[in-house]
Amino acid sequence: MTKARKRPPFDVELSAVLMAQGEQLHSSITFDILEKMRAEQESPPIEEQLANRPIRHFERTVPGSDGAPDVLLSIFQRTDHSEAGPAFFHTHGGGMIMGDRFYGIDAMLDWVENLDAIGISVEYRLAPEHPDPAPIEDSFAGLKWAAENADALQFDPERLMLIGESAGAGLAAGLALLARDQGGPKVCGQVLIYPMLDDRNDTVSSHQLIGEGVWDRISNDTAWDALLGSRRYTDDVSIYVSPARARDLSGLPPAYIEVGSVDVFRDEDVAYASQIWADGGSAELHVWPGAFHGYDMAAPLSAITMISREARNRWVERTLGV
Amino acid sequence: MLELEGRLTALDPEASEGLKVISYFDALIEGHASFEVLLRGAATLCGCASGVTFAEKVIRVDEKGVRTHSPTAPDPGGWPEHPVVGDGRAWIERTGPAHANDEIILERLSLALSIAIERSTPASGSRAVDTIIDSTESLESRRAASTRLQLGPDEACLVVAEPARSAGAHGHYTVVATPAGTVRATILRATERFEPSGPAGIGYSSTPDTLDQSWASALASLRLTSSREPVLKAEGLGGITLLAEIPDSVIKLNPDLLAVSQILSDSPKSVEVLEAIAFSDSQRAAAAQLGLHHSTVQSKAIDLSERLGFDLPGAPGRQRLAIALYLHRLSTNRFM
Repeated sequence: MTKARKRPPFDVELSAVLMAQGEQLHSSITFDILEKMRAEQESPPIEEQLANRPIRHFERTVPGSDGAPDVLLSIFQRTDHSEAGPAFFHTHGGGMIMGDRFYGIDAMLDWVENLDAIGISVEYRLAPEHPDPAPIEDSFAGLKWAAENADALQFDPERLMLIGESAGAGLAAGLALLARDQGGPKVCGQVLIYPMLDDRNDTVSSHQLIGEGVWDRISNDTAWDALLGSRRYTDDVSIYVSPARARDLSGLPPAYIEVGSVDVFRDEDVAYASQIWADGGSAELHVWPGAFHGYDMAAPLSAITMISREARNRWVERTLGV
Repeated sequence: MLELEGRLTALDPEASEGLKVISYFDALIEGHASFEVLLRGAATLCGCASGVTFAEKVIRVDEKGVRTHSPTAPDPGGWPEHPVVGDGRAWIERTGPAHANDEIILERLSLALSIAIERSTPASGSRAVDTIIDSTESLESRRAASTRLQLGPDEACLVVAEPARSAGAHGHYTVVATPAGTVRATILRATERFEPSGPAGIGYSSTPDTLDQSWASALASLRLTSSREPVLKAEGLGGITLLAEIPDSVIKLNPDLLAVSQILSDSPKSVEVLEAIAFSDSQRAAAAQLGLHHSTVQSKAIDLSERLGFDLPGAPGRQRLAIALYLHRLSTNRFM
C-alpha cells in the first residue's frame, strides 16, 4: 500500500470520537464491504428523526429525466407552515454509492424548523448499479420539479437553496452548474459541506489519508470507480459529476464551502472556492483545523461542530435575507 | 456511520460500548483535553449535563455540550457522582433510571479529570516530563525540559512507571495513556529512595538525555509484573523487556501464550504452579515454594506439559514457559 504523506493533526476532541469507534471504524471502503457499509448507513425511520420536531413529512414521486425512471422526493415543512419563504433542496452524501434521502438531513431540518423553510430531499439512484449520470440526472429532475411546483409546495421560487454533504455536496455543485448552463431553475445559494468534487483524486490532501480517519483515499477511489468506470481520469467526464473539472465557475449562485483540514477533499474544496473568486463569484470558505470528513455528524456536540454550525447558519440567514 | 452520540446512550448494556467509553476518554487524556472537553465528552455520552467541582472551582457543561456560566456545585449525593483528586467530585445530571454506561462513564470521567487536575498542578512539572520521556521529541527540546526540572546533564536518573491511580513516587511526574492503560511516569534521581506502594516498573538508570529509553524500559517492566513479582526493575529483567516491543496483534497469536491462557481460564489458580515451575531452579524448589509434595508437583508438571505441548522438567521447557507467562502478563495487564 502506498504510504500516506504526513497529515495535519486531528483535533483532540474529534480524534477521541475516532478512537472510540475502534475496529468498527471503516476508514477504507472497498467494493467487498460496500453492502455491509450500505446496511450500516441505512437511516433510522424518519419518524425517529422527526420526533420532538414540529415537522410534517410527505413524499412525491416525480418524473425523471428523459427515459429515466421516476424520482422520489421527501418533503418537509413545519406543521404550522404559513408563509411562502425559503426552500432547501438536499442531496445526501455517501459517495453516490451509499446512503438514502434521510441521511444527513439534520442541518436542513433545523432550517425547516427555525426558518419555516420547505425542505426537499431527493432519492437519487446509486452507483455502481447506476453509474453516472444517473445520480446527477435524478437530482436535476427533482430540482426542476421542485422549482416548478414552488406555489404548490408553498415556497418562494426566488429563495431556493442547494445543500449537500460530501458526494451530495458534489451533486449540489453539479446542480448549480447544470442550472446555470441550462438557464434554470433559479437557485439562490449552494451550501457545500466537505464536497466531493474531483474524480482525479490527486491533490496533496488526497494523499494524506490512507487507512485512517473517515473516507480515506481508498474509499474515494472506490466511489469514483463505481461512478465513472473506465471513463474515470479521461476527458469523457462531465463537469456536472466532477465539478473541479469546470474551467469557468462564473455565473453561479453564492457558495458556502467548508471542509476539515484532515479530509481528502480539503485541497479540491479550497481550489473550488479560489476558482469561484477568480471568476468573479461569491464564496465563503472555512477550513476547520483538525476536522475529519463528516466530523459534524460524528461529533455533534464538539467545539468545532458548534462553531462551524454557527458559521453555516449565519451564512444561510444572511444569504436568504432572513 | 459514526454517530457516537445515541449509539452510546443506547439502553442495552453491551460490553463493546463500555470499551468505546474507555477508548474515548483514553484518547482525550492522551490529547491533554481540557476540563470542559472532558465534561462535554461525558455529557455527549450520557445525553445529560455533567460537572466537576474541586479546589473551590465549579465547571458544568449542559446536555447540549455548552458550558454553563458561573455554575454552582450541587449538594453532595444529589446526582450520581464520583470522587476526583483534591476532595473534588464529578457528577452527571441523570434524571430517571440510570443508563447502562453511566457508571463507567463517571468512572472514566473522574479518572480523566483527576489526571487533568494533577497535570495542571505546577509542582508536577508534567509538561516537562511529557517532553522528556517522549522519544519523538527532538533531543534539543528534551534537554530544555530537563533543564526546567533542574536535572543536571550528567545526573543519573531513572523513570518509574506505576498505575495512574497509585499514590505514586515522590517526584516530577505525568500520566500517560499507554496500550496497558493509564500509567504514571515519575522521574527520580538514581540516588533517591523509592518505596513502591503497589505494582511498579523501574526503568534503566541513565542521564537525562536518554530518559525516553528509561521510560520505555520502566513501562515494559510494569507490564511484566504479576502478583508474584509486583515490582520489577528493567536492570533485573535485561533483554526480557524487549518482549514488550512485540505488537499485541502478534503476541495474541503465539501458540504458547494461547495454551497458557487456556489453562488459566480453565483454572485461574494454576498460575501459582506455572510460575513456581517456570521461575524455580528445580521441581523440588518449586514444590517447596508451593508447600506441596515433590511428587504432587511432578504429576502436575506432567499434566501441564501435555496441555502446553512441550516438556516442562528441564531448563528449555521452563524457559519456554517463562516466556509464555511474560507474554500473558503483557497481553492481560491493564492499569488505571
